[in-house]
Amino acid sequence: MSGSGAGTALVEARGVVKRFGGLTAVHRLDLTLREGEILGLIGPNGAGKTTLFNLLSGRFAPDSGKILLQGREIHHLPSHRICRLGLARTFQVPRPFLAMTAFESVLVGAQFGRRVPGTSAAGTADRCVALTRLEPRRNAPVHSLNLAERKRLDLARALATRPSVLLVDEVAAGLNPTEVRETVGILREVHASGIGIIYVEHVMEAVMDISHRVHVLDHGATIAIGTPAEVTRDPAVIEAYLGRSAGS
Amino acid sequence: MSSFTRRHLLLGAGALAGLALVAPLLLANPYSSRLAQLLFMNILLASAWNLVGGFAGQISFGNASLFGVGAYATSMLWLAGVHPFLTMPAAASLAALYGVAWGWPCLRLRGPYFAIATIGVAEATRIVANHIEAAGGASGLTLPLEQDLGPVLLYALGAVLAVAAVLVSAAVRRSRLGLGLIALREDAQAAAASGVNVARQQVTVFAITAALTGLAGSYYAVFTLYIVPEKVFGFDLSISLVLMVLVGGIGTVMGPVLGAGIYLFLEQFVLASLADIHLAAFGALLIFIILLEPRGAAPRLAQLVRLIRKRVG
Repeated sequence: MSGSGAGTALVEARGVVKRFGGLTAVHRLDLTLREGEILGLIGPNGAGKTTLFNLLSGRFAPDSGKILLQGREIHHLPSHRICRLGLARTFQVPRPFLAMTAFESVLVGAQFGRRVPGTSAAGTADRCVALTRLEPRRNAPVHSLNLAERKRLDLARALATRPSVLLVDEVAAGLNPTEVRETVGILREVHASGIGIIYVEHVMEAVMDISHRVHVLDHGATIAIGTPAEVTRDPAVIEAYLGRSAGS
Repeated sequence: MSSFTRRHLLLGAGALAGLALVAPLLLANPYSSRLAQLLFMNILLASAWNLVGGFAGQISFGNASLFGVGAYATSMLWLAGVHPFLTMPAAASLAALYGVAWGWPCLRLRGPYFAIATIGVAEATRIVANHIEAAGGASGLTLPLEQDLGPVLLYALGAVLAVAAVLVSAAVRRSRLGLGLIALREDAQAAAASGVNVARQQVTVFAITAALTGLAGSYYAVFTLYIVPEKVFGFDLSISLVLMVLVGGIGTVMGPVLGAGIYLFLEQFVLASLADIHLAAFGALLIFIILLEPRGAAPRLAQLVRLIRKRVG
C-alpha cells in the first residue's frame, strides 16, 4: 500500500511560525500530508513536534503562516471547529474523561465530531471501541483503564469524530513490545479505512515500520524529508540525534 | 442514550402524586406550610445550581444575582397589576438573559477564577439594586397581602416547580448537552479536540440554570410577599446553594434534592438555636463534609438502596 506519490494534499502547513516569549518553537515550517499517506514526524525532544500538533489542531494559533486542511484555511479556527472539519488528534499523555465509562468517552467524539448522514452516534462509537480492541472494557469506568487501554481510548475517541486526518502523538511510548505491535496494527487498519495520519513517535520500530514518508524536525525547523530508509542515512538526522562526531 | 424517557415522566407524576398525598400533613399549620415552600424552593435552587456547578464543574457563588432578578421581576409586574402566575415566564426569561449576559464572559474562566468572578458580579448586582429607587431601593418592595395565593395553591405551585427542576436535571444529565458538559468538566482541552464547543455548552446550560433560579426567586416573592435586596441578592443565599449541593452529592440528579432537605432541617432545627454563630457552624459543617464525604450523601444512599435490594430480593 504505497499511497504516496502524486496524491493531493490533505494537510498543508506553509511558513508556520510559533513563538513562546523569546523561544521560537516552530520556525517557518512547511509540511505536507498527502492523501492516503502515513507521515512520520520525528525529531529530538523539544524539536517542536507536539507544538506543531497543537497548531494543526487549533490549540494554538500560529504567529504567522498558514495551515490548510483539504485546501481550506483552518489556522484561525478553534479546536472544535477543526475537529468537525475532519482533523482529530490524540494526546502524548492520554487525556481521558475519568468520570465516564469507556463507551461514553468515545460517544463524546461521535456526538460532537463530524456528522455523517445515515450513521448513528452510538453505532460509530461501538465501531471505534471494537477497532481499538476495547470491547472487553466497553462499560468499564475510565479510571480503571491501564496506560495501554487509555492510549487506545484516546485513539477511539478521536476516530469517533469521523476524521479524514488523524494526528497521533506517541501512541507507542511506554508500551511493551506486544502492545506496540497491536497499536501499529490498529493504525494500519485506520489508514486502510482511508484516513491520512501524521504520526509523532520516539519508538523508531513503530514509526519507521508504518510511515510512507518521514519528516524530521530539529529546533522547530525541517532538517530532512524522505522515506524511512533515506532519513535514517541522512547525516543531518544522525547529527541531530547523536551529535557531531569528535573529529569533525 | 435517549434524552428523556417515559420512565422519567412517570417518576415525575409519581412524585407529584406523593406530594399531593402528604399535602394535608404539611398544610396543617402556617409553619409547616412555610417549611414545605422553603423545601420546594431549595430543591429548585439546588438542582439549578448543580446543572452548571455539578455537571459543568463551574462553581458559582453568584446565583443570588439571578434569584434576585426573578424576585424583582415578579414583584414589580405584580404591583403593576399582572397576575403572579403570568409574571413567572418573564421572571425566568429576564434571569436567563441576565445570566447569559454575565455568564458568557465569566464562563471563559475556569475553576477558582470563575468562582471569584461570580462573587464580584453578584455583589455588584446587590449594591446596584440597593440604589434603584424605582424598585424600592434598600427598603425593597411589599406585595399586596390581600392577593396572597393561599397555602394550597402555593404548595401546588412549589411542588410542580421542584419536580420540574429535577426532571430538567435528569433530562440534561442524559442528553447530548449533559455528555458534553461532563466531558468539558473532566478535560476542557480534550473535549474541544473531540468537537465540543466548550463556550457554547457552558452558556447554554447556564441559561437553564439562570431561568430556574429566576423562577425560584419569583416563587419566593409570591410566598413571602416582601423582598429586599440584602436578602434576595444576598451572598448568604449564594453560599447556601453550594452547601446544599455539596451535602447532598454534587454532579448527581438526586443529590441536590437530598441536600435541599438536609439543609432545611439543619437550618430550622439545629442551627437556628445557634443564632449568631450559625454561619460559623455552616463553615464547620462544610469542612466536615469535604473531609469525610466529598461526594455527598447521594452516593452513600444509592449504596444503601442497592444493599437493601440485595437483601430483600
